[in-house]
Amino acid sequence: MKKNAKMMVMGLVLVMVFCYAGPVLAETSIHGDTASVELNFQVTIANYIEFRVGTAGVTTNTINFSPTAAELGANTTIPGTGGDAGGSQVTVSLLSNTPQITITATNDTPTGLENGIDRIDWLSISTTDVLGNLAPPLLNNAGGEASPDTPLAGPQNITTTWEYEYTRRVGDPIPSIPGNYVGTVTYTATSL
Amino acid sequence: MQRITLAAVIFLALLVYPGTVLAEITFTFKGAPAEVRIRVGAVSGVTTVVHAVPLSLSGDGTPISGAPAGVAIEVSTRRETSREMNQAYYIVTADSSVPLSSGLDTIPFTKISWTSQDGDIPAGRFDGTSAQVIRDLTRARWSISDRLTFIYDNDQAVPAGTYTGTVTYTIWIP
Repeated sequence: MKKNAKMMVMGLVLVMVFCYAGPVLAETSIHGDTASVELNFQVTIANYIEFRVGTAGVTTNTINFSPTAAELGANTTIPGTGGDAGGSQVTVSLLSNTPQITITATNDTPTGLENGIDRIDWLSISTTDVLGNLAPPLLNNAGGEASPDTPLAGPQNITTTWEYEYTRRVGDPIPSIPGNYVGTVTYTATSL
Repeated sequence: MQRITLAAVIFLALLVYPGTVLAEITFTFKGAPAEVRIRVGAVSGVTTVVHAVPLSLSGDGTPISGAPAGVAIEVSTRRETSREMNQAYYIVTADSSVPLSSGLDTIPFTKISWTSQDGDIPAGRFDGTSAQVIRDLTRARWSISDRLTFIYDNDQAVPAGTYTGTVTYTIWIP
């Protein structure tokens, strides 16, 4: 009898164990006809911005303007040469998955393109987005102009062409000294 | 001789007067209660499958395997009788209807597929529905044991972030 009683107690305990219906976890065993478990997933995507102006890689393109005296005198707008996309044009691409992207232009000669003595105002060089995909920032002596006015939402995969032109602005003096006036613009893509 | 069939009464009587009560008990053994069992991942806790996309491959279409690989999935049932074991069938479904999310950005589960080690759970891809059948009618007597490796397509540019989501696996007997 004592043995039978022990067996009954064990049986009751087993029934209690089997009747327990736990929460949805990795393993579930439930009396009845249905049971569920969960599996979590995680995908981690890192920030990236890939930005190119001109030739891909480390090459820095040089756009050359060679206005004639007549063009200077007449304030004629002229294209340059040396762009990777031909003539005065450069290839621009932006690939990014970050939000709030802006393009900022800065320069290394804050008083204008220089020849060591004289200067040409950076505002004399205009930039046009030929394909209309990504508005370029304005070039000026102070630098720091950003574009577009409304930051781009991510992700972005933009390819376009920017074209540069030189115009001696009305009122600006004609450079008094012939020579090469140089300056470098650095474009930076930033996620705000 | 008195025949007592209520087991609880007998049990209490034995506790009060051990060795002094004589009784006969007739058991009609029907078998253990019906049960269904399913496990996905570790035995305890909820396993998380992580797809870490390297910066250099982000969105370029290179499939990204999840870690851990070979996630265990085990499914079994028990019916009350041998006859039921032979006649009953079960189905395994997956609910992937809520996409992975990072803030307001989402990745649908349709971007995640899986391979199967031995085909008990056939290789497939989440369809983004609430009751995708991943193992069709299977006789209750048969148990399933397989290992699945999950793969993220990584074929689109998505905003940076850590995307999380949960798939619920269910065994049920129609």
